[in-house]
Amino acid sequence: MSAAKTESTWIAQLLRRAGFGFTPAEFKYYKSLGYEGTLHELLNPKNVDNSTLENAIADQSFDFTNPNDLRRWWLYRMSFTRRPLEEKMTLFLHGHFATSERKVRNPHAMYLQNMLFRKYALGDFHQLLLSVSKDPAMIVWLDNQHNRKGKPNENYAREVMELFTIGIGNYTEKDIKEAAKAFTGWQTRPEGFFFNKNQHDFGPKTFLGVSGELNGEDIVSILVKQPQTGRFLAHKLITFFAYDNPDKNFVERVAKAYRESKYRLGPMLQVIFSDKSFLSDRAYHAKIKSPAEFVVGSLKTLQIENLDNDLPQMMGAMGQDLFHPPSVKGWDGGEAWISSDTMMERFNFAARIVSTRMDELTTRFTPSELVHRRGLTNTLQLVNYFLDLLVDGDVSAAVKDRLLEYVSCDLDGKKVSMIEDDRTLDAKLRGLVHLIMTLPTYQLT
Amino acid sequence: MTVSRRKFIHGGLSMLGLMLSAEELFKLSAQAAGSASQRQLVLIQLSGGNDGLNTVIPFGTGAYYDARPQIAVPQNDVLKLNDAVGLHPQMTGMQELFNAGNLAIVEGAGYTSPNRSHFRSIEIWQTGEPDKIGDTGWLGRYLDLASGDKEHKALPAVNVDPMLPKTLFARKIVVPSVNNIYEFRFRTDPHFRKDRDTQIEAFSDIYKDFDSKRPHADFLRKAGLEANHASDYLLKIVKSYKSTVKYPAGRLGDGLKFIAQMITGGVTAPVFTVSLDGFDTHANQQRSQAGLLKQLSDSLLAFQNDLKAHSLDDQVITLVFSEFGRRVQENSGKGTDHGTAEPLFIVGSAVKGGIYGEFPSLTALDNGDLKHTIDFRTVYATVLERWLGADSVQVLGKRFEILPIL
Repeated sequence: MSAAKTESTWIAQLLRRAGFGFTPAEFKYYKSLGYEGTLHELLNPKNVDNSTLENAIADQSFDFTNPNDLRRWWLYRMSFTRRPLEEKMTLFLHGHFATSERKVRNPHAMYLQNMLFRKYALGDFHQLLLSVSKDPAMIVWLDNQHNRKGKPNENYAREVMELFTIGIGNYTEKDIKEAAKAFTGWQTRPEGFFFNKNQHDFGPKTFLGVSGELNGEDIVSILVKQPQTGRFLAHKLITFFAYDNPDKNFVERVAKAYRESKYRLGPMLQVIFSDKSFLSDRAYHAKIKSPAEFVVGSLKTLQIENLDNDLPQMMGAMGQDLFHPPSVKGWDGGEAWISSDTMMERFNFAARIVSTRMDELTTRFTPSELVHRRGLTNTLQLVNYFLDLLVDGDVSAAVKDRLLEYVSCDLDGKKVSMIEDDRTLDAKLRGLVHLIMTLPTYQLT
Repeated sequence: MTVSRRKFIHGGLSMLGLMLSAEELFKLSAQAAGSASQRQLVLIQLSGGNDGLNTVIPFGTGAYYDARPQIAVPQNDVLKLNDAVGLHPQMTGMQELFNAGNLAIVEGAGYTSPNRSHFRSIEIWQTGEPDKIGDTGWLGRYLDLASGDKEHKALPAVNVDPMLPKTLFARKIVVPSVNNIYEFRFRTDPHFRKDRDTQIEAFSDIYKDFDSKRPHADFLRKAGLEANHASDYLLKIVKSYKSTVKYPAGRLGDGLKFIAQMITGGVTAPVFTVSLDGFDTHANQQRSQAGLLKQLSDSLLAFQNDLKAHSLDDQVITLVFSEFGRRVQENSGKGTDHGTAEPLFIVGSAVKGGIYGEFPSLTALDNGDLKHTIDFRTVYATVLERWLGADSVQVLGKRFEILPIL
């Protein structure tokens, strides 16, 4: 089944990477646009009417002073947005400028920061970095509130270089001290950013070889223009969206888009998603799903529209607690998502969303209906259908045979030629879907 | 970092050929427990960079109070260990351990050309390699060495955090991570209990022979298989545990309790790791650090008492470290920035309690930071040689002084 890859294979992959997967209806829509058309739409979110989502969100009256509501709000956006890449980039930026509500202790400030990421998701990195440097949540998170003339606090100055722009090894401890001075007096007040000129060090500084009476704006602008910043971002974006360990040439091509577009993120993504290597085995099922991709993708594929209140906690147990990144470095991703512990959490999330215990109040995932609708009649068709749906059919014949064997037993474990009643059929199909979701392949995107 | 980890874990697996399941490893490990007592090491990482100067406090030095007009601990509040230094007032548990002779403190631990990045410095402490970016952890290398050429017949270690620290990255051995034992079991649809066995059988069959050329597929297969095998066995062990000791609430208390459950249940793995986060106190550090130090101190005391009650205190020691200490001079936000040298703690009945090493000068500073007085690997070497019976030169690449702590 997985042998021939067609345009539709790559559209599906693009939607998994540049978004959070798709429902059957969404897939049909994007297929009608073709690969180029889909990419164009994803890269130009402002052209897509998202009012259905915004209205639905307004109806839910989320409380943005409640950290759990904040997380549910974001999961809701990820699940139902019509601008998937904007939302995926927002997640990327949350990991890049990783800020934790645990320290900020102001969910509303975290909400505003999140809206800032969304605003610049595909836009100008210079404006983004400047806005982040003045963002109240960031100012609290990295202690710039306490960065005063004559008593500098170096936290922001260090991380803006190590993690946000040029990366470790490209600056000295002296550069950190000088940058810290330039950011003195950048504070937050209840109404927002505040430049406290009494606390600002207006004296001369030398930063990365540039001398003058530098302020925070100057530091940001020097950093954004460093060729190393383009490379640092390119490497991180490729690893996040395409595959691990990209070669130097690919990184340079993406960094070039950064430079030539005067520091915009959209053109970098355009290069990544158009690259030949992205449409090849190099990228296909080559990355481990993040918990956000695993959770939201599963809900979309199985068309589960009611989001449980504790979904954010389950994602947290899998290693990705939204608004609570583990450190200012964000989530490492890749194999760092996986341990025996987080694998068990993934298995148990799968068990939970397919199990009947959860749908006593509302009808959830009822596979038998789907099967009747699709006119699937024998067990081989059933297994093929769900393997295609969940893992693009990318498994060996041995795995398929073993799944067939499972579906061919009744609830007492006896081999039967045919499943007679819908109750048994539903139970076995739920078991089947659970098993497919525990496959190593299902953890891949 | 993830690159090398993958490479080595994969390399390790292919070298082994047939791996024993985690369940079998736990069982074998428990069987071996019978006679000879097995020495075990618990490693606690304090993440974020603990402010050592407000932990082991030089209350007899004026320069300490000069540098920290807002956040210094008043002399009268310090839990004095001698006439020069004492513990933070929240650390009554560790004071008790010190007075009982079960706590050793090594002053001024660090390394040359200290790195003040959290991530690089954590890596240096975890790998024991300040001069280059190492691929394996210091305990990973020890465990590789201890496993020898023979097939693996014992569980090497258990990490009690969601993610494996680089400390345990290795070429041959593979370590399971178990965060919350009560959540750590394979669930199925509760309405169809009889189908559970059929389903688990299918899962095991598929995982046993799962074959795919996709990158990461074998890594995922191994993690999933290990998760399932380890959970049954660990749940049994936890059920059989009895103790009257009460651990403080919080991550570290839970973690150390789980380690005590494993040790008393017969798991003889030589190494356990656990961490406590939140020490990056750039602002308003007094309250947050006090809470963390209390948690550390109370948890260590509970753990030691629990082991004592099970007569296992002679076979376990605990080493506590952080990625760096903090700047001597407080900052204007009642906090401290990233610094260098720090005190290390070693707890256990086998430990010769006391204060080791030399307290770094508070006036002869390097760019506002303490100059370390002892290489942190001296402590690693001591633990390796005197406790784990290993050749420290093979693990650390060169010879370090051995301290008379053990």
